[in-house]
Amino acid sequence: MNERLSSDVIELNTFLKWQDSTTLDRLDPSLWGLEARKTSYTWILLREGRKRERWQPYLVVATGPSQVTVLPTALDATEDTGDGMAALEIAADAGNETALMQAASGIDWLQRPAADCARAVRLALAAGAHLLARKLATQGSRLHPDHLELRKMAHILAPPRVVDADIPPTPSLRANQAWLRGHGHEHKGQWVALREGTLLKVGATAREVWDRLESTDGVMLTKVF
Amino acid sequence: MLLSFEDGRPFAQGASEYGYRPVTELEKPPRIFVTVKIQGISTEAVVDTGGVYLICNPEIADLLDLDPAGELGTDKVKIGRWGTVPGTLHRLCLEFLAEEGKGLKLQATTFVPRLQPNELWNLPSIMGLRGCLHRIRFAVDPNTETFYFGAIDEED
Repeated sequence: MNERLSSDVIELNTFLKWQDSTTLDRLDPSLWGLEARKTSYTWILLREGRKRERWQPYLVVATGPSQVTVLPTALDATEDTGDGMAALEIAADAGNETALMQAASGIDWLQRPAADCARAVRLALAAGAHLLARKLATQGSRLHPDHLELRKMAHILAPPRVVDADIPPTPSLRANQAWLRGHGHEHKGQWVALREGTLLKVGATAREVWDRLESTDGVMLTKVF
Repeated sequence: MLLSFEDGRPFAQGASEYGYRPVTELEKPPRIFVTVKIQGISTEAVVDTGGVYLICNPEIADLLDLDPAGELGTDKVKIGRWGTVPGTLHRLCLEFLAEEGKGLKLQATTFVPRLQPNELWNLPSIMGLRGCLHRIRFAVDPNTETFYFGAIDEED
């Protein structure tokens, strides 16, 4: 596969994405607060396939300025059976949203079974291509209206929708915020239950606090960070 | 006073005071904490314009008794800055509470992280712009720490 890939290299793209202080790309909290950080992204170059044609695996993967990454054998694009799903898998595995969208657009979804549509939605989610996941779920559920999983995917991933815009005001909110400003530091790391600016219960877990409340009416439950 | 467009149409229909503090002790930049209801439980959620979906704190989700039949279980979902996290996707109601004006409720895609035994999710619930906040208008007044919000009409 690699020989084939090297011979088909058209361009090697690497870009750097600067992140500002509002983007924290890691789980490690010790890294939070950095003002800026650059991240190297992986690019896959795919020749855009035409619908109903066997997908031709023109592909190269690179990370960093000059490094070529060898794809896992299981994801060898030459194993593509012509339906484009392998290209989708490869792009998802690399976390490359652009390549994933290209691969998805090269698939004739009218010819694909419902299971492939559902698989594509999962791949898009795993790659962070959330809008593509929504689009594929919507399209899949229209093509396969009896497929329960696709219907559920389309429902869950649908755009947010306002269902009630006429809810009476809640005047006690300000009192709870005032309590958090004045006393929150005394309970850092704990869950607190507040009602109209009064502390009702404190505990290590939300469940512990919730279960000890006599009534949950008008209660705000939050963790103090 | 709520906000309006020049032609008198409301920009915001409700407003509430927000909290402005860091999300964790290790993170210095303060975040905007808005009081909301998630599926009926009143709690706080952080505004994250770079985020996606509503990410529900797993401890709050535990109180909601969510129906497994209504969830989309996933091995992994890439959630912006938090990397790829295992969890489940749901369609939940998120309600913005108003001290002034009217509150509003929307249905939004909600991600609930799945924790390993003894693993802690030391973050609040988080409202991402994509998939959650992008169907409402919102604005903040840092001077009074007020969060304004309003529904976007379907035809807008």
